[in-house]
Amino acid sequence: MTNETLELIKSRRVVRIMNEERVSRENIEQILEAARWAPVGGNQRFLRFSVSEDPTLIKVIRMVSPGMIQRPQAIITICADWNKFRKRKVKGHDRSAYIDVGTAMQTMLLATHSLGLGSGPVTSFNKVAVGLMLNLQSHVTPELMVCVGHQAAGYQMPMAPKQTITWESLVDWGRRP
Amino acid sequence: MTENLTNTLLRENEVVELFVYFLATARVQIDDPDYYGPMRLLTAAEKLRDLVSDRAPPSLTRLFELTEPIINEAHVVINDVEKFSNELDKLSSVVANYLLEINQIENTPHD
Repeated sequence: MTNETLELIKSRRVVRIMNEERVSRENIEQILEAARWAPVGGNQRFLRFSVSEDPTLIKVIRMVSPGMIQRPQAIITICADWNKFRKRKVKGHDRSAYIDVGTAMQTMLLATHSLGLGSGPVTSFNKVAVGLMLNLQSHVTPELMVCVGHQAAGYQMPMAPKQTITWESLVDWGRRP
Repeated sequence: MTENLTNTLLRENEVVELFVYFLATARVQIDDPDYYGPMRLLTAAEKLRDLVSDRAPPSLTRLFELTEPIINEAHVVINDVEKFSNELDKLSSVVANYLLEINQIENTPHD
C-alpha cells in the first residue's frame, strides 16, 4: 500500500525555475498554518513569519539575495524574535534556535509540495538589507527564506551530488564497527 | 571592439541591480562556504549577460553563446572541486581565445 506522506517526502525537490503564475492567498495561509504545527524546542515559539507577495518588494529582496536563483511569486521569511528566545533561558550555545528554523522550513517545504506548488529555501541573503526591507524590529532577524511559486515547465538544472547517496550510506546500526 | 559599445551601455536600473548584487553579496560571502565565491562571480557574469543580451552586437553574442553552456555545466558540478575547476579552466580558455581573436592577435599554439 502506498504511503502518501512518505511519497511526498521523497518526491520533493528544490525548485529553481518558477513561472509568473501567482500563488493564492489561501495556499500561502495553508503553508503558514502547517508551519505553526512544526515541532519547536520546549514548545516555546520564538519564530515569526514575514510574507512578501508584492512583486516590487520581491524584486528588491532578490537583489540582495545571491542564493535566490528562482523568481518566486511569494517569499515566506522565517524570522527569529530574540527577545522571546531569551525567555526560553537556553544554556550554552543557542544553536537550538536554528533547529526550530529548520523544522519550520521543512514543514513548509512539504506543505508547499503537497499543494502542488514549488518551493526552495534560501539562506544566502544579506540579513541587514532584508531586515530593513521587511521593516523588522531590531530584535527580530530574518534567518531563512522559503520561496514559493509554480514550477516552470521544462528543464530544471540539478545540482549534482558529490556521490551517490542512499539512506543506508548515512546510517550506522548500533555502535559504529 | 569599441564601435558597438554604446549598444551595450547599462541602463540605470540595470546598474543598480548589478551594483547592489556585488555589495550585498560581499557581506553574504563572509558566512557562505568559500567555494560559493566563484559561483557568485559566475552569477554576476550571467546577470550582466542577461541584461545586455537583447542589444548585444554579434561578436558579443558569440562570446555569450560560447560561454553559456560551460557556465551552466559549472553550476551543475559546483560540489566537485575538480570538475568545477575544469569548467572554469574551459571558460578561461574560451575567454582568452576570444580576446586574442577580436584584438586580432595571432594565436600560435606551441604544438
